[in-house]
Amino acid sequence: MIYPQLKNTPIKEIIFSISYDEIVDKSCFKKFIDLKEISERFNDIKPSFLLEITNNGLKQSIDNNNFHLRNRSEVLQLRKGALSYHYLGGYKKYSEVLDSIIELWTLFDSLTTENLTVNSLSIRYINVIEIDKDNPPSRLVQLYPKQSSDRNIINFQNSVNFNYVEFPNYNINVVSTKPKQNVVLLDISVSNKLIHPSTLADDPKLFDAFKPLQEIKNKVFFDSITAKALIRYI
Amino acid sequence: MEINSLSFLTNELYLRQSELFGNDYKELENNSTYSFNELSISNLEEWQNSILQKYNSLNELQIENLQNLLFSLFKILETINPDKLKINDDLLTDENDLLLWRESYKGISKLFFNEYGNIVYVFNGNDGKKVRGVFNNDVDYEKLLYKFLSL
Repeated sequence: MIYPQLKNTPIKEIIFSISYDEIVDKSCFKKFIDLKEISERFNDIKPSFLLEITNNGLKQSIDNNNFHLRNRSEVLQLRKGALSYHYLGGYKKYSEVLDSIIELWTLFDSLTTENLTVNSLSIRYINVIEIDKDNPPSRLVQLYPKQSSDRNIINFQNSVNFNYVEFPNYNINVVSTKPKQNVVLLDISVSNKLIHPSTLADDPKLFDAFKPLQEIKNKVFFDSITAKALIRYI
Repeated sequence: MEINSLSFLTNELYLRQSELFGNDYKELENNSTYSFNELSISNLEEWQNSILQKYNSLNELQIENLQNLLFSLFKILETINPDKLKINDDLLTDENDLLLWRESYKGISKLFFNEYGNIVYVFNGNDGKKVRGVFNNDVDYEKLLYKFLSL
């Protein structure tokens, strides 16, 4: 399917994730953040926090098993069982985001004693669509609550989980939500649970496994906005 | 896959992973049902309550072990891949064992909570691999949980 080329896009955050089976030793995370390539790329590296219940309520404590790495436009989240790369600078070519996560994944994977077993890949595109009195959510996105002149919708969150018949192995989750007065988020996730999880240690296999997700997320995006919204971006 | 409050929690944790909009999702939760930061507790409590209501024959030892496990789960919630939270519950009526189980492409992981205060961990792999361990209530719940979630 050929979609129109957009001159600008409402994309604000792109997240590519690789999920793996193993619960890796915490020394791997430590070795990873100590790598020269990593410490030079991410100037803000923090451990994640654990939540604990104490007699005085909830308390956060540092957890050195998980890390949050950030620079001006990128974030890398290391969780047990998943590595997520976030691009925060708006639109970026799919292949460039893919290059980044594969580069980081390859470095991380090289530090584990055996190659990690990749079981799922996912991409997530968070779009911010501006709304106003003349352009309420129902005129711009296809997922919206019933809207009429006698209703003032304060906020909403719709979530639809589905797959396309032609792509039965790809799970799609689309959330539309109005977190603030003048914007709607259109949050599109596409994931692929691998039928035959494997190490996917070499780049071409990972590239190939990620490839179909691009077309599907494009289809979801164009299926989720109205013609009126589309005009804004072409 | 059974829809339980853990499923909602999985979705919410997933949405909250956004760097730019994670807080918006937290606030939306706050406006809808729970107060900030209590979502995860509420969901786990809800799941625990639903288990206790469904299986009201559980004795104190079983309930205590379940609570200890859920407490450990709460602690690590934000540090694990939310996909790993797809956990089902059941009761083996003959033995009155509470069963928590999850399925992956590798096989099925099970945790049995028996009436004598033991927790039995069993993994049956699709490739024929079998793992079994019996623990009492001084087990390191967090380690046991990681084992359960990793396979």
